[in-house]
Amino acid sequence: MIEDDRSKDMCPICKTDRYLSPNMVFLINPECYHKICESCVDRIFSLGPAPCPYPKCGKILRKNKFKRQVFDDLVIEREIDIRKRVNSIYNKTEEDFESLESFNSYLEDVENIVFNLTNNVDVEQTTKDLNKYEEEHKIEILEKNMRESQKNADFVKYQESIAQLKHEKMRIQQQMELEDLEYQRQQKQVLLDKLASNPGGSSEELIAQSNSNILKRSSLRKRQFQQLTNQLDQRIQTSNPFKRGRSSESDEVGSSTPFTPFKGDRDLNKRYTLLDTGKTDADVSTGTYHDPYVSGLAKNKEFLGAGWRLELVFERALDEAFMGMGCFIDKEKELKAEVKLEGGDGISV
Amino acid sequence: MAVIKQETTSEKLRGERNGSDTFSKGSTEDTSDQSKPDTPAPKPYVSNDDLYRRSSQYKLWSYTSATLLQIRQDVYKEGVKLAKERLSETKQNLIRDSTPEVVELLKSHEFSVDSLLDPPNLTEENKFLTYYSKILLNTGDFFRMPTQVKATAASFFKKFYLINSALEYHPKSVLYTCLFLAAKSENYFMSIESFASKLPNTEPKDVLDLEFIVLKSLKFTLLVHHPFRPLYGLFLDTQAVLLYPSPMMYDVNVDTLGGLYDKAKKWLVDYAIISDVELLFTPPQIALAAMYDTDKRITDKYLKRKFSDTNEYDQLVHTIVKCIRKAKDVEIPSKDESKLIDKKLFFVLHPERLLKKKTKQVNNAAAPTDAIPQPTSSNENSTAVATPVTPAAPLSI
Repeated sequence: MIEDDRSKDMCPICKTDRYLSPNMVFLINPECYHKICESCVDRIFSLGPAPCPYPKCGKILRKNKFKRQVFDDLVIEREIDIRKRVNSIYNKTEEDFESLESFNSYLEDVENIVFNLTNNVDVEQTTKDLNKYEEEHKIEILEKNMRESQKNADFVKYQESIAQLKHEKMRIQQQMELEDLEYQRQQKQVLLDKLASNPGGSSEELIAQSNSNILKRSSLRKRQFQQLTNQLDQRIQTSNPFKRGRSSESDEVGSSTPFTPFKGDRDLNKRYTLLDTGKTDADVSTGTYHDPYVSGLAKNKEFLGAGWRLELVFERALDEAFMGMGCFIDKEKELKAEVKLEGGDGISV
Repeated sequence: MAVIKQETTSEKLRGERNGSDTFSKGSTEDTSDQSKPDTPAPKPYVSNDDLYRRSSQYKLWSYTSATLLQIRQDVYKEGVKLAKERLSETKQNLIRDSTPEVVELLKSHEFSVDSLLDPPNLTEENKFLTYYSKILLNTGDFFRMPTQVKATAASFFKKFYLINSALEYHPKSVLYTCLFLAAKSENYFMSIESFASKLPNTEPKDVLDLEFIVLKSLKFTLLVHHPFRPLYGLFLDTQAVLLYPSPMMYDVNVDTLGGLYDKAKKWLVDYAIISDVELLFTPPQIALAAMYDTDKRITDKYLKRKFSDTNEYDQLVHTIVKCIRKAKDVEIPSKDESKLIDKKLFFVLHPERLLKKKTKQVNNAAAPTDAIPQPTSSNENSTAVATPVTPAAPLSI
């Protein structure tokens, strides 16, 4: 263990130890993945390509290919490099394919190539194929790269605009707060003046009046602010190319049946129709369930905060009300008994 | 259970898609039996009824009335057999330890196992259990347990005696264990110390010793589907069906339905918990029965509107009426009657006392005029005085 640690922290060429020169850095070359310290790289390779100094390696290395090691495990480091290289050539995405299946088979091909290269299976043939593909699809690859970078730029733009929006909102809010403070001070001053000018009048009334004024104004302001932010939100929504696509997608997912572990999909046609449990009591025409106790709970913030919902209570009760209503045990079990008799000695469960 | 059917279905499904066989043990006649193996039939749908068919309550604890009776008879027979074995074993032991005179007496015809043993018959046993279900509910009330817990405990109690006989386990101790277990499984926890301390002559050990036996008899199925929540759901659905978009009946409004709900709930507590209906019908059916028996007019209107298919309606009403009859067909014996049964049961459970009593009887009959008791029986008598022969009243709750 100790041996290992020490060899890990020591350049095998110049035998410099990390203990003695703490800011030394190891570099590797994707040709042979041998570890060499930075000063050795400078010393050996600054005059042009040279063979690897490791005994029995002898591969010709260039200085500009040296890079820092990211992963501790060199096998992984190597695989990542190969993956990067292959992916830069096979750079199609799902939208380039007509069906999911063809995309999946494409991905499988890519995976095969990566596997062959990392595990040294058929390296020659695979490299040849890879080069051939690159040669043949050069223009496509370039185009794809261009599109991707465009997309990335779009995304960056979008993020920027979101940040800007946030900033704008903050600014408006701050400004409004300042104005409000100013207004309140003014009101106070007005009130004091009024109180001073008519000493005979009832002071309570005046105070109440000014308070209600302030309240009215603040609620108005709140609404104004809400409107402004809504406008801003909308503007960003319409100009955003990403959001729209996503929302339509989520709609699709919502309408399909959820996964069930029950050998078949859950029957979504319930035997009942859940009435609207909207909070407005005035809307009686569509109907709502009447249960004062449970509805009372629905006003309790502690319940709501924990995720408790009124309609879930109703839904569960209704579900259970029809869970087994059509199971006529007398008949079904009798049937089973007969089957068992006919079947003779089966394995009993 | 439906062995053959299950195998074919699971094989079929294995062909269609691999894996997910953990759930294939359930019976899914309605959904998968129709699809033939060679045609890729439309994906089967699982209805709420199918879900209920997967529950342990349906699979393990639902019977036709004939099977239920059969099971009770079998269990009773087994109980009598065990009681006889117990008695003869005790007799053997006594014979080994006794003086020759006593041995001769014990070997006489009067002491043969068959003539000696007088177990309560099946009807008596059932009556006795009903009596104890009532006591179980009273005990639950004493602990201020919610109805849900009491109902679960009663269900455990009932199921326990479908596996074991009262001739083997006296219901008094079993009921405490059932109650304690139900409190735990329904999340109404109380510590065993406080539980036992409030019960007469009961140690924590007495309750806990039986716990595993009860669990095993229940086949570790602790979830009981009660009719209470279905009843609530039906209360909601009657509102939806009968009141909207416009009221169906001139004299029915939210308050009448609420009243009906409350009365039906009471009906469930009074009849459904004690009787066998939970073993014979499904919870929604029992809930409907409660409503039907409380207010036939409203419930019938609801069912008619809900199930426009007359065939289904007829079948459901037929089942409900049967359920009502079963629920009300329960006779709770009087205290005196159950005391008599308990006396019989006591000697079945304690054969040594039975032998002792018989010996005494025989001796008394043999020498009714003798002023001095015979030397052989003096020994017997002295012990009999020390420990009273008649059982202490077991119904002292």
